Amino acid sequence: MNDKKRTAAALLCIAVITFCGITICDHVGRFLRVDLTENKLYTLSDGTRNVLEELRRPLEMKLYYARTAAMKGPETIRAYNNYFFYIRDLLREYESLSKGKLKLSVIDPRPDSDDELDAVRYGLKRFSAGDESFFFGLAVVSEYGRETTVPFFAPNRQPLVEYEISSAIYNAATPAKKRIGILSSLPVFGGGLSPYMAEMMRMQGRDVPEEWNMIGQLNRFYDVVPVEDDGGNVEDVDLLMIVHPKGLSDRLLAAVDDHVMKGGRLVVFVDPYCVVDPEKDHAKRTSDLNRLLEKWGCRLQPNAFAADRSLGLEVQLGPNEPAERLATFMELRGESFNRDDVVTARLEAVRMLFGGVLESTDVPGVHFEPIIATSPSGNVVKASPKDVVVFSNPDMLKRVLEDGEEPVVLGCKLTGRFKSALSKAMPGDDATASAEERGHSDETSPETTIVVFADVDMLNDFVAFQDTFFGVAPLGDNMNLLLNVMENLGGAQALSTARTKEKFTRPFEVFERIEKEAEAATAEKVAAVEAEMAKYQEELQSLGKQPGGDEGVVMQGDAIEKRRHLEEQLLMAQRELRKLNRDKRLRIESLTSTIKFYNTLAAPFVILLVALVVFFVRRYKKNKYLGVHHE
Amino acid sequence: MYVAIHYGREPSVINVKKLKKRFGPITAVDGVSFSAAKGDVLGFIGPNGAGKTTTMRMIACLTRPDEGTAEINGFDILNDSLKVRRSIGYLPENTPLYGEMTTLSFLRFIVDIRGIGGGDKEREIERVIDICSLGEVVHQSIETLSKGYRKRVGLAQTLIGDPAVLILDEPTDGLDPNQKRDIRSLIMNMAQNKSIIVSTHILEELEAICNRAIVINRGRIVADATPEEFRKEGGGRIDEFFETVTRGSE
Amino acid sequence: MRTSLVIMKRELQGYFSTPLAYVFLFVFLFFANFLTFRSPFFEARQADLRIFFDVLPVLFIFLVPAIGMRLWAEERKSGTIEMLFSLPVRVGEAVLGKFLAAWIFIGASLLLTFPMIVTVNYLGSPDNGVIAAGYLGAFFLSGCYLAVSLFCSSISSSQVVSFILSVMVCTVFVFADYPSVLVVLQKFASPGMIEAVENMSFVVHFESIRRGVIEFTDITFYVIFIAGWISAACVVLHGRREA
Repeated sequence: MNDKKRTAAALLCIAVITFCGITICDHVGRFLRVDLTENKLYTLSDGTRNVLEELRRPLEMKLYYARTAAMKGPETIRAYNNYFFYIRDLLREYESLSKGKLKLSVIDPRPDSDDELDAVRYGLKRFSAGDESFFFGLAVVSEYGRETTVPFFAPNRQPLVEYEISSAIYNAATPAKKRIGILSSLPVFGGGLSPYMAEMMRMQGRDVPEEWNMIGQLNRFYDVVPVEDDGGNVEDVDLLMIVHPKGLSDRLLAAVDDHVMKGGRLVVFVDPYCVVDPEKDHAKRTSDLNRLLEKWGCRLQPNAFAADRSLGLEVQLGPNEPAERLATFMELRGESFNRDDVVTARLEAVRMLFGGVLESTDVPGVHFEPIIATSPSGNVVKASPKDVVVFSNPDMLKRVLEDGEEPVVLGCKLTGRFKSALSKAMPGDDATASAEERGHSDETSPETTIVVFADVDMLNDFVAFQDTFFGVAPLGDNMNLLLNVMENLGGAQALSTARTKEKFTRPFEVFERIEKEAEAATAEKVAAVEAEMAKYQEELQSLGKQPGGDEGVVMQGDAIEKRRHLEEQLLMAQRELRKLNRDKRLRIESLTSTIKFYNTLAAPFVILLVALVVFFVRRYKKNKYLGVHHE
Repeated sequence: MYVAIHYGREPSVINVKKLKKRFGPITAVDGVSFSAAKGDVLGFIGPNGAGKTTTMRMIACLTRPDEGTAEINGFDILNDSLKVRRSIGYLPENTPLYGEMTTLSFLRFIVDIRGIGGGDKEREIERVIDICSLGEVVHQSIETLSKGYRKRVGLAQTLIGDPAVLILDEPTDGLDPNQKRDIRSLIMNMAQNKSIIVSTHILEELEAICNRAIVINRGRIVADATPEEFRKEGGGRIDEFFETVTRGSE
Repeated sequence: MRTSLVIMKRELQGYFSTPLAYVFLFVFLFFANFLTFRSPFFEARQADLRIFFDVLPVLFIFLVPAIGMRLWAEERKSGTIEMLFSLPVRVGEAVLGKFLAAWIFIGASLLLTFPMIVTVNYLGSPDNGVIAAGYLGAFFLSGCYLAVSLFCSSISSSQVVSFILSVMVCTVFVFADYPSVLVVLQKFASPGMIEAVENMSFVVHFESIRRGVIEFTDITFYVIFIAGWISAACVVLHGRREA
């Protein structure tokens, strides 16, 4: 009896030790891992590491995941569990890399709890699931109370998730709003009048330039200021945005150059023909910054427009004319976007009007990365800005434009160390001053980023916004693109080159190939049969409509005969079509069953082989031994 | 053949001190003490359930005694269990063996377990195969062997590594007379250099192979003498004596 | 350790000199393939072994105890346990040897599912790192089932009882992270406790490794879990010897 008690006690001890051991190890050793995945799905990028290294103050990461709701909820919500584990593990990885600067807490917000209130207050997305609400988002809170969020972790945004989290952390750690300086030849800020003054002037019947909506969009997240005419305040801005630069003074150019040399980030919008330019002379509606940009890795081709038949939007030139596709007014979709770059990875549709053509100038040390381009069939239309008809008339374009072979670049990202574009002393009255100031002019800049777009109209209200019943709303992704760029460039430099994480779908390529082959092989036949069917159908219909063949009236004998004949032929054609489709399916099915056959057969076969080998080895040994003993 | 008892002349290899074992309310072994020296063949005899097997199992470190201890070859069964087992060859009741193995692979396994390595390995196997005359069945799997052969394989197993002590639990049980004779002569041949404990309830066997008999009844030693002395006590009949000591204590 | 290896070798020989090994392999491979292809493996058109690895935890519930049940139960029933422990063998060494033998055997049968790997590599270009991690996870997973079966085998001399017992215990550990279980637990356990219970699940750790990331946490889980059950078996066998 005593022995049994002792055994039971020992077993209990083992159970407790095992349980505790596992639980403790789960908390202690969670950061040691080997990522075997080909695409390193769980390994944080250098950009993220950079952000984490530069953290000075502690931040709190609150991961809200309504676990209880997910448990109770339907399968669709439960499916988030897996992604939750992925996110949680990813955040733990952040926590461990931050050397104690980040603290992660995982919160399950129950209904009517303070946690739920907090989640709502942080602005996390909320879905109702029965009597619970479902949350799955992240709030990053600094000790000064600065908050940033990832409102919702959608599994289909997995490629972007690391960037989103890193940006949230970076932004929460950065104390103040970033300041964007805008240098523009266009009245993007309106007349610079106060709303009251503008109203007054409007009442007087005067034409008042209004502030572009994009400024309002940017103001939500940034402190936006116009660059002074002498470039005096460029030094104070974090991010410089140049829109439609025309005839910049040397002083301004020097200020821009300086900005970049100091590692400041730059966004440039240039345009071969800007529709909203109030300039009367069409030839002067063009702008470029090639003087600087050529030295930095890209240039705008003069007198060239990007066009793509497959992306053109329908426009109506006159009130009574039919809508026609205009290949130079493009809605860029799908493959137009560089999916590897976080700026464009998730965009769906961006509109550009009379966009120009960007090309790399192959500057060593600078990486030129196209982020927006036409489809491969897009091409360049050579035209001077004053020949408006050439690039704005659909009929003209049809004649001029041929399908190209590779995408035409409309937007690009330049990263690297840039050399000053204005290395020689500046001419003019301020030469001495600028030479003094710019003693480092031959130096290269620190690693920084410049983004260039070959269109200005894309920012304007009439392309990027629409009037709706609820007021003005962004149209397409133009504003998202702008905000992405700003967020990307406003963040840590390391993040501006962040790559999207690879997706993990890996299709059966063989099946796809078979299907393609089968389709190619039968395409002609299918087309022929379909044409035949269309013909029969037409004949049948015309038969029904024949004069005298009124509905309700009994048809003549040979008409009935013919009809039956046609119907038969139609049926046969349909059968043939089905057969062709079936062939494709059959080929895959036969491959499938072959694979099944070999898989289920190969295993027993190997076992049989092993058994036989074992048997023969035994027999051989036995004979050998017996032989020895008989001697 | 008669082997004289050499009390005190040889150091005792087996030294059992007041072993006690209870199974619930039943006391299976109640203070058993005895000792045996090299060359002794000790017969354990007694009715079924008397505690013979339990005593042997305790000596072979298969069961832990509640009280008392034993020393084998100078090693204590409680503290030096592994060393004790190195010096013991134990043949359990009914000779359980790994039936699916061949005789040879089974013996190889035992040799490996006992840590005999290198060239000694094959020599040792040859030796026990010779002693137990297993040459003909080395490649047969054990489950196909006759009972006699199985006992011999069991015995061969105990001999590997030449342990100083053999403990054989009913080694002749269930064999035909010829097989019994074979096994007995085997045991007697091995007797010179070892101390052997044999349990049995066949009285002739006791006379035939043992130089000393211990009668156990209800967990206690009721007699400890040579078979001759037993015969004398029983008036020339060993079974008479057995009856008196086992029944008499009731 | 040397003794463990000797015992392991003997056990492995034992598997292949009886039909048991061949029958097990046949049943395992057949069902692994059958269940995988019965699921929408070809319809999903994904070049990975996700579906195959989904099948394993359930398949193991029945197959691993079939290997594990005989480890001690048979030895005890035939009485060879007496002979084994009369030899200079420590209980731990014997248990470890037997466990390793059975584990290697199951590992080998896992390797025999290699036609699956060939298949997905033929049909597409899978992430073979993930597949390797999956197999490692499956191997450890089978070790857990085996450790449980080993323990169950040590407490009973009937193979049937030991089989049923280990199937039951394994089921508990497989389904420990199921939402329905956790919802029940939630009524009386603290969140930390729930997480701890969830963390006990074989499947949670298997899934974690299957992603293609070998985490220290998961490996320690498996090692501690297996070590725990093995030492429990040792304690039981020790206790039995003394009783």
